[in-house]
Amino acid sequence: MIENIRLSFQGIWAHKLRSLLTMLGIIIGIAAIIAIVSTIKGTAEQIKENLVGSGNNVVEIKLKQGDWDYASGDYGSSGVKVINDKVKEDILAVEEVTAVASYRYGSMYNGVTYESNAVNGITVIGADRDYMQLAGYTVTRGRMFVDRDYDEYKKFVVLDDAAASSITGGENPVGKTIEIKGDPYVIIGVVKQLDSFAPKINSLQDWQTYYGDSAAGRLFLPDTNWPMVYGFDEPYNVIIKPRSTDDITEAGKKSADILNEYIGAKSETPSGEGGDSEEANFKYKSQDLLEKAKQMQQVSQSTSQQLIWIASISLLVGGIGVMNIMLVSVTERTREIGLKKALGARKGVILGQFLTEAAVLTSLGGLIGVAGGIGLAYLISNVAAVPVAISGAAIAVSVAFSTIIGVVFGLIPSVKAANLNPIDALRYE
Amino acid sequence: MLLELSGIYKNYLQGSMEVPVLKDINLQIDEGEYVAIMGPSGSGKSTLMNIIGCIDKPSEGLYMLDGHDIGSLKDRALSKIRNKEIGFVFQNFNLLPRQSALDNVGLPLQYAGVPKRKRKERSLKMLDMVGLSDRVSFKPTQLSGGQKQRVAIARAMVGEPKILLADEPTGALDSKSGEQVMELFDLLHEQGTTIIMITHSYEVAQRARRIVRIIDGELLEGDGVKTSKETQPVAEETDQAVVAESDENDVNDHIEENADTDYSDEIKEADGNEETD
Repeated sequence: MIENIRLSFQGIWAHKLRSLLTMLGIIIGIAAIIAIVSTIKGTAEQIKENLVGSGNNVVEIKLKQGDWDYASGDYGSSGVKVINDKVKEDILAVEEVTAVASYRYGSMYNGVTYESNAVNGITVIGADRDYMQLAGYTVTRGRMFVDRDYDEYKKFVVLDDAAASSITGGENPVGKTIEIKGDPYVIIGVVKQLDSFAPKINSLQDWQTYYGDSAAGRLFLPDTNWPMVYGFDEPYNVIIKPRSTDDITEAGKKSADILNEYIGAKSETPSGEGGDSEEANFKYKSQDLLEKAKQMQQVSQSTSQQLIWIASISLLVGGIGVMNIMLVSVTERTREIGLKKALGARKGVILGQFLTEAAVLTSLGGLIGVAGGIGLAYLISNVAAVPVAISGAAIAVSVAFSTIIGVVFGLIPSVKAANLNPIDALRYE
Repeated sequence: MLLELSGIYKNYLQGSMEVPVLKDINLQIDEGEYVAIMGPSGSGKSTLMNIIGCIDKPSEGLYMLDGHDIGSLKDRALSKIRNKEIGFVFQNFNLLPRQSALDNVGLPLQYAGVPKRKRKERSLKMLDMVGLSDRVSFKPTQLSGGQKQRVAIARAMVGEPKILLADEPTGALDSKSGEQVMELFDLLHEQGTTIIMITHSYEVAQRARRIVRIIDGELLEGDGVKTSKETQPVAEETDQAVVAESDENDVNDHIEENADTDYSDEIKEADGNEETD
């Protein structure tokens, strides 16, 4: 066998150009498949990373009114029960949940003013004591809220960097005073969400997907101050930290169930019941990012799978090329085959020799194709800004598959060689 | 008796015509004999050699080799016989061009499943015997004709076969290289190898202990030069009878009755007769 492989390499080397041309179909096919698979995998991983983050992810369980996120506004109380520490403990007791925090969420289109200028589109978040840390915010300027700020109802706010730039422009906002509905609040710090918590932004489309609703940035204040701003003790949204990425779905569902039971939401809310009381429409829903990531991955995969089929045609054509050249090779080496048979080579020996040669030829083509495919994938990623993830499994499968192509398409020529009559072969001119 | 051919016929298809190449060959060769087969081109001597070497099959007749009925053997068994019992030397050497002398010599051992180290050891010994121990790793293109033929002889003998078949082994060599090859044959003969050799050259044939002549597919035993002078025309109608009786006839009778100088006419007529039947 090793002898055969060595002989095959000799043969391939002796006909360098011919071998290369023969391998070309296989090389192109495998390269295309590797490039496509790498791009699919890269895109899929990016989608997951964008949505789910890389391990530090948290799950938001938002209060929904119908299909919309509930936001505190200027139109009175929702009447939804405000969650207390007991509910948080219940959620923390869920096996898949390791941390829990709550926040209030409101929009404020013209309530915020700085130096008499209204700042539009700011998202206002009333954070509880655990929220800032759990959501992955770190201080870049000034300081974060401390317990005293909560206990003493301090009129302090913290901005994220987007809000900082939309409110004060380039100036350092720390120490400046803004007005929220006429009440002065002091900016005590600027925060930034850690990269591992924030979605990755690679394109304008990404930006719209993740940040479209909070273009002007976020403004945080202690949740204890919420009634001062909005006039009511508004309901909370909850964020939880699941035990692991794989527990995201389960942790989110269980927590949402606890919250829904607490607020007395109906387990089923038929969408057609528009005439029902408003309270019945409120419901907590976990944002299942894992599920969403999977859906997005599936879309990108199904389109790419069609490309793989097309690339497979190149492999088929390559295989036929191999068969053709092997038939030529058998004819060329008829005398050699006759001699070997005269020296006592059995059919199996000749068959093995030619099959090995075909398999070595296509495997080599496969390996070159893998190298070319990896190169192509990186080229695509550079040109089209698509991430690349090289799949070891895809490489192994490709090389194995190219070997199989060699064996399958080498079979007819090899059988032809093995069945040659020794005397006819020796006499062949 | 090492090998015995009885009533061997061989026909080739030429277009739609069956052309007889060998006609009723009866030949017995003992172990250790040194036989030269002589005959003009197209007489069928190579075909006879190929049948003896088990790379061609007779159309008719029985061939016993070392107790095996070759006609009844399957492909696998035939390969084994070719591998173990027979060594082939060709006029044009037939070495594998991309492999070294050593690898060429080792081929039969490879097919016999001899492990690589042992193969190398025995191949080196054979190359030493033919005087090429300094050319072990040379490719055939780097060797002279005589050297190539000696590599081929080493290859033929490496599996220690009982029979060495040589088809005009000196045909493509100059006289000096030819002489070296013949000396090797003498040596092998002394060591007990049965040698069957085809040659055109009477001088080469003289070194054999026995000469068999083949003319137009029929066998003549003995010193061909003398017997051809004694041959006489044969009556057409006796041809069929002779074929039938040939087993009982002694060799000289056979020669007298069949070695016709004007044989081609006779074939045509014989064919004609068969058709009218």
